Amino acid sequence: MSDLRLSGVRYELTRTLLHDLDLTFAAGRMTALSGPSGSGKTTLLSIAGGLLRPTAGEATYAGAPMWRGTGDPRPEVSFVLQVYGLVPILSARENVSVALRARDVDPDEADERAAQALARFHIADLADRQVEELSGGQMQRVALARGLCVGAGVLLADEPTSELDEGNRGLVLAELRREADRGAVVVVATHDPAVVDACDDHHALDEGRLVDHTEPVHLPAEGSRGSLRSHLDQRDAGSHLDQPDVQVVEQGGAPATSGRRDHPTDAPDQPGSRGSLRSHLDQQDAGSDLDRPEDDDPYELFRRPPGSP
Amino acid sequence: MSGTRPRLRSRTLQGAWARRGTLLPLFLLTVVVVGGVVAVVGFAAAAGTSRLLAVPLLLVGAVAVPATGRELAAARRTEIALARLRGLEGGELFTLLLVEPLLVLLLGAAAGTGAGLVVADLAARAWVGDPMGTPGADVAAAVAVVLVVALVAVLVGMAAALREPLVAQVRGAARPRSSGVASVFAQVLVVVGAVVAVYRARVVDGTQSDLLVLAGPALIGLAAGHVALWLMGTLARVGVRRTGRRGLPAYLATRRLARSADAAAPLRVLVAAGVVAGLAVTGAVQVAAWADETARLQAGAPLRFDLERGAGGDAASVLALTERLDPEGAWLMGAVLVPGEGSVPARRAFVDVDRFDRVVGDFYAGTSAARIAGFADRLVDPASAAGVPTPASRVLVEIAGVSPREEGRLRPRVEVALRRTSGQELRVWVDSELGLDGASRTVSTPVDCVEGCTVVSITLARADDDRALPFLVTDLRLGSTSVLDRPWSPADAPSAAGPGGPVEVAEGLLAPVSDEPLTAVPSRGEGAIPVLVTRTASWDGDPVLESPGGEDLAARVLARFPALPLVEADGVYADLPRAAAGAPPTIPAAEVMVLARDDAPAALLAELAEETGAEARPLARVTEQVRDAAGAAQAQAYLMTAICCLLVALLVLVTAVARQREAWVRDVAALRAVGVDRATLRRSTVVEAVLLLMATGAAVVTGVYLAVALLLGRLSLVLVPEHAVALRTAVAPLPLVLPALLASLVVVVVLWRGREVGGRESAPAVLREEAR
Repeated sequence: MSDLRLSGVRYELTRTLLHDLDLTFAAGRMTALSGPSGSGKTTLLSIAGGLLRPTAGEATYAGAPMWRGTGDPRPEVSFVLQVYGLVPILSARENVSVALRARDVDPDEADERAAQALARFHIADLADRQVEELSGGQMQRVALARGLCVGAGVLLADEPTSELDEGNRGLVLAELRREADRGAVVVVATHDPAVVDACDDHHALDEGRLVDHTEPVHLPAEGSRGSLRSHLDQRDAGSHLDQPDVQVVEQGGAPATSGRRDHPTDAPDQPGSRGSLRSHLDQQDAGSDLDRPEDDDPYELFRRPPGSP
Repeated sequence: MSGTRPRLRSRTLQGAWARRGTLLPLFLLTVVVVGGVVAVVGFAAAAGTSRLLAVPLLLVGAVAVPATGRELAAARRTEIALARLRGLEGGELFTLLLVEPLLVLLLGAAAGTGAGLVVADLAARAWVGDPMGTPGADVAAAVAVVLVVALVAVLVGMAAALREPLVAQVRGAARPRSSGVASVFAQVLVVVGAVVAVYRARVVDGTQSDLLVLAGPALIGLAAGHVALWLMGTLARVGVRRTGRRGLPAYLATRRLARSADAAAPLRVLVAAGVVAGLAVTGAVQVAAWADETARLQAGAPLRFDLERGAGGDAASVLALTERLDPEGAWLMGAVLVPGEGSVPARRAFVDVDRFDRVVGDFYAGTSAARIAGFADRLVDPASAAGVPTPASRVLVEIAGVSPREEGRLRPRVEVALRRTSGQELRVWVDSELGLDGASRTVSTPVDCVEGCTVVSITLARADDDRALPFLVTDLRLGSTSVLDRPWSPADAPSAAGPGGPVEVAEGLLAPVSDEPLTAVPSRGEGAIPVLVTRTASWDGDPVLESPGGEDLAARVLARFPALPLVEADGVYADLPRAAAGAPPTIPAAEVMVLARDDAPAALLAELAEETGAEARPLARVTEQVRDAAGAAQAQAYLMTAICCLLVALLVLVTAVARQREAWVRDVAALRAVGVDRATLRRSTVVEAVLLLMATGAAVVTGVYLAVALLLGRLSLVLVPEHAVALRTAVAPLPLVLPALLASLVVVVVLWRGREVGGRESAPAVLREEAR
């Protein structure tokens, strides 16, 4: 599968919403797109997905432009919209099934895959309920099921966890990771630091400009923990604070997954795991984590397996 | 404190302006309903018809307005929640909610009243011929009724918002709710109301307007709409299951139809309006046809001159008049109508049937008397043709001997008794002498018959001392008319002494051997007088025809008709010359007239008018008089009601589709975002439109059929006079199909226009939060 490339993308309406962005969203990786409200995340996703035509520059995938001239996305693209984009009079299953049928999937297979997709998000019992009868969180999961079930080459998710609790958030991140592992380009616009933490790459936007191309966050593997500590030391020393327009993203906080024990991808609870990352490292240095088997690694779920590209 | 009132007013106005998109349909609805009611009531007052004809419009409006009330409540949901949080409840809350719609209703009522009065005046001038005049208290009362009904309807629509739990109201967007008990009850009530209206139509007096019967067509239409929507919803739900494996267009269309409640109210109103319109058009067509038929039967011919008695105004004189002015019988025809009371046969009409074809032609085509022309020949007695008064200045007689004789003198005398058209009798005679060879001799004598005379009798005699030998009258002419063309019979009964009078022979009239004068009189024809009768005519015993003079004549019924010229649905129809021959003078109650073709020479008509002092009554004037007498303007008033109902339905439908447009645009954007292309969405709209078209069309056709079959005859759209033909109330094809086609077309056009969204307007990008 190919990367999704944005070259010199500018978008202007009454003001410039995006300023000459050059970005590559790599295939097989999850990329977080963060920034304050109004920073241009959704606009960037819309241009990347071919919903909007940039004022300048272009977005391409597999060598072909994303913009088709009509505002309709390419079949290789799947969206999980911030406003969900569900059809109220269709049921949850029908909303998902329509996306598959639009891609010429056989109706029976589409219904079956729709049911499976809903089941992945633990809302199989809502399959026959009309969407307008669902709660916000349930609708978001239906939108996610729809976006993920089509097996698109590019998956663009706008605030996919905004309505979800921690358990479901972990579930969503696991599914996104599965898509990335399949080789898709996965881009997630988010305010949620945990989601940012879970991604391989991270771009921060502020007023339509990239303000930080943050290194991927990896938990220190054996012999590599120093890099993270040194990163934190440098940060605490203020080296980043002196840089203009740098938005420091707090790496601490709760692990991305702390939810359901019965989910096979859930990470087990760990002592002290809810403290800051620094305290987490301190604990590691104290040796309490050195002996922790890899299965207890809270970030195992989202980590790229060693040796993977 | 005083400062809060201006703030409240300005807040109200600001709120109203902010919600103008929702309030505008309510305003327009009010204008149309009030305008329609005022127009119908005002026109009814001018035309003297029932004001209750506006009831269907009130009913349709009462169904249409609550939908707007619900919209208003939805638009003010947050405001309602805040008010309830502040502690407002009950009357205070109602007052807060009512101010805006009340303001809009008052403005709409004012505008509607003005528009309605203008329309009523125009309609009165066009259909009644007089301006409307000052509106009475009934117009104000009608406006007040509409306002109250509309306000209650808006409150009913808002009631659901007031019953919603505060928690849900504060939380966010309203969740869809299934039809409540009240809604189901209202639907059942409509069906029951329709059934009761049909029942009342059977039991109430058809001459009086009944409120429920007048509302019946709208109730039947609403019930048909309920059934159609229920059927469509059921079929759509079946379609949901069956289209699971079909293409996306049918997949999407069936689901929209099965689950979208927004289609319900507009279609109900549209079907109701279509049924009212279908019945109104049927009624208008039937009333127009009835008025035309009645006028043709009453008029008798394209032009009618009613004569005064004394101005040629009796049977004999009118026949003489038409014979004199129009000897060829191409333009004028005499007629007499005796509007007898007491029995159907007492009501009789006499027409100079010999002139029927030329003067009347196909004038009765399309009426119940259309086939009468085929019986004209059988009504006319050849003998009676000669009984028509003939103008003359001389009497000419040709006499001959039966055979040569050897001796004796033979001096025949022929005496002719005549009757002038004035009734005066006179006698003329001629004397002659026949030679021994018996050769014919022709003699003549002057006679004063300028106005026309009929021959009453012929007396043949001889000089006193002549031999009583037979002789022949081979020719006898009154003017240019041969008197011997008609049959003659002896005046006395035959006896041993002789035949009783001259005898008809091939050569003429034979005076047999007799010392006494022999008198012959006109034969009355063989057997009874042939007549045509209406189906209501009956006799105890053999049929009897009363002549124009009241004399009973034996009659023979040739055929029965639903209606006949002049006598309409009750009476007897016969040939005038035959019935009047030898009859006593025409009775005073008889109406004597001259019927004429409308293309008769103007000079002839002028001469006729001058001689008789009568004025021509063309068919158009007779038609107008028939319509005025029967109150046929009711049909026009009902048509106005139907047009307003259709306007209300169109407004409701357009508003509903416009209201759905934003949601439809978002649905299109959402479906395009997942890969469904616009062509597929257009096809789904086509499927939806076809299903709606079929449901609407079938519902309207069914509703119109039921309304016409069950109610039209009881709506008192016209007051059928005594003896007139009945109003036909059968279902006619065009008024049955036309409203259905119109309603279906409206649904398709409005839906298509409402669903036609541009590519940019419905692009998936509109779903971005920033774009909202």
